[in-house]
Amino acid sequence: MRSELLLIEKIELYIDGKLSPEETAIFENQLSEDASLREEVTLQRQIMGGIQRSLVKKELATAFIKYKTIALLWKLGVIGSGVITATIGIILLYNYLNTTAETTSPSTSEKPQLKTVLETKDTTLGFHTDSIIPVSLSTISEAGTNSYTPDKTATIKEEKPVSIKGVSSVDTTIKNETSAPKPVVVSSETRKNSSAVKNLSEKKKEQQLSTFFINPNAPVTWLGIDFTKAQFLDKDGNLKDGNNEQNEKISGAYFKEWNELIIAEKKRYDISGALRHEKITFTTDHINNMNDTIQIERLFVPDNSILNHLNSDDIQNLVNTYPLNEKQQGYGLVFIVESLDRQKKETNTWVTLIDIKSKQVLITEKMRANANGLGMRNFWARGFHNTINDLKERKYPEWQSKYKK
Amino acid sequence: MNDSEIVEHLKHNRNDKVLVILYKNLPVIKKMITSNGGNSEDAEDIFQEALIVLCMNVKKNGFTLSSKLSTYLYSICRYMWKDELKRRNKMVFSYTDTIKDTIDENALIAIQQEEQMKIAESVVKSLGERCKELLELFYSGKMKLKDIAEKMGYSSENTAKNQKYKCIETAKKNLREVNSNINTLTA
Repeated sequence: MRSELLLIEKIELYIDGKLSPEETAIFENQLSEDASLREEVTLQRQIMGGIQRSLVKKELATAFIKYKTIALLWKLGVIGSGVITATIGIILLYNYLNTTAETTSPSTSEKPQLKTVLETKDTTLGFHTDSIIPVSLSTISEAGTNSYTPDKTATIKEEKPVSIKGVSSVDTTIKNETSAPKPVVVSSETRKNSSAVKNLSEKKKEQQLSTFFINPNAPVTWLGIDFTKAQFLDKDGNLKDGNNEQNEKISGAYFKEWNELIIAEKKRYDISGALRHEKITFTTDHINNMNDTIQIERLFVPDNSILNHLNSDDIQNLVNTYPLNEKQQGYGLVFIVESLDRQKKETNTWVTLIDIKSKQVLITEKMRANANGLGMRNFWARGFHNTINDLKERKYPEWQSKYKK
Repeated sequence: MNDSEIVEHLKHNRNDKVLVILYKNLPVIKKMITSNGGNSEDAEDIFQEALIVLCMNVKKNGFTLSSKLSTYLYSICRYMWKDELKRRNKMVFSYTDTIKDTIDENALIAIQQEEQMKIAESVVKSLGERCKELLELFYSGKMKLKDIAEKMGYSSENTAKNQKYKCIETAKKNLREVNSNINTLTA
């Protein structure tokens, strides 16, 4: 293996441009003469590109969340600053009106009336009434009845909201200028929004599910039967009950056959009826490609102790790896096979509904079905047929009453 | 941060420092796409693809930026969106704007290679979590094999190296099969 390891390292250095000019020339000379080496380099370059792409996508996802958060905070800052500016404007207007009134008819008995007016306004705008009132009164008492100057107004009005940082600076200014505490309205909005962001995906999921059960025209894609996590209970790989029939050995070809069967016999394998959706698109290429990569021998288990090996998190993780068209919209239905149990003659399948674009699993539930029939293909196909029927008769109504809102 | 500084960060895998800055171009792309038959989500998808193309392309030897980064991204997005519209059998693109349909030649090659990279990405994903993690840690260039061995619980650097070799070989084998299937289908 040593020489293969060295070759891979050399190819990596070549692709990264880290070979010396002499080494590069020698390697390129080898490449021009050796077609298999050329293929190795092409494949290696492609794999490295695929890994880089995957890494960049992760970083982009993080950056996008940051970008959205900044945009949200910006909006909050603008709204918060608007509220603060409006409040200050109202306070100053009342001060100004009060000052004018006092100029024409100076009477100390009007101050409690002003307090009442301010209390009403403070409550509406969400400020701590107790803390804002002294501000107004102290401004009045500091300024005196006739000494209010437009300069103070200008200092406060000139504060421009830039971001949440801008909001803090406005707060500080207010505090310095008027000793007012920070308005409650900003912090409560922020808390609401962080909690809203937290629940966003759950709410979106609920909405998507509700839409699915309300709208029979919502686009649905049948993605196929995924065997990549399947465990076959029989150490020899004999999946057929051997009592009456000669055992057959499973091969990768069956995965494709079972998937093709569902498309070829749509009336019998009634996905459309089971989901109460007329427009079903059948796109099983991705799942077929994934099934093609299964190494059959590794799937067999000698006993049933590890047959229940999947949970809903595993299903989500698996769905995350699906090479789906990211531009595709709508819902996807996939059967993820957990086990084909020859002893009990049953299939265990995670019937899974997903949002194709986000790959979010909306519903996933393990369903057991009996398998029987003549020949390997028909024997296990019956299990999938029974699963679809069970979905149609029992599970769909159950889900509908649970998720339709 | 100016364009050449952003490119330098991208070249040296310091993407986290600049991707948020690049996202500031998204509103312009949204405007272009939503006024040409797409929606906001289309715009986000196309913009993400354009950023991937930029990040991949910038690392190639001899990459030079022949225009402003915003123009570069706009031209890639425009090209990709037109392509997507063709795929959807819709040609509603408005030609009233003044930006010509010019695109950097290297960017065009990178866009064409994107399909191959997507296939390779899905092949790597299908290898399983351990292999995927190992290869990602190694090829991100941020960790040495010795550290990867420690992080992933391999007994030695050599074990990690052998494991990496097996993962790469499996990936190549699967990719070879997928490529061959595609060739058969398109032949």
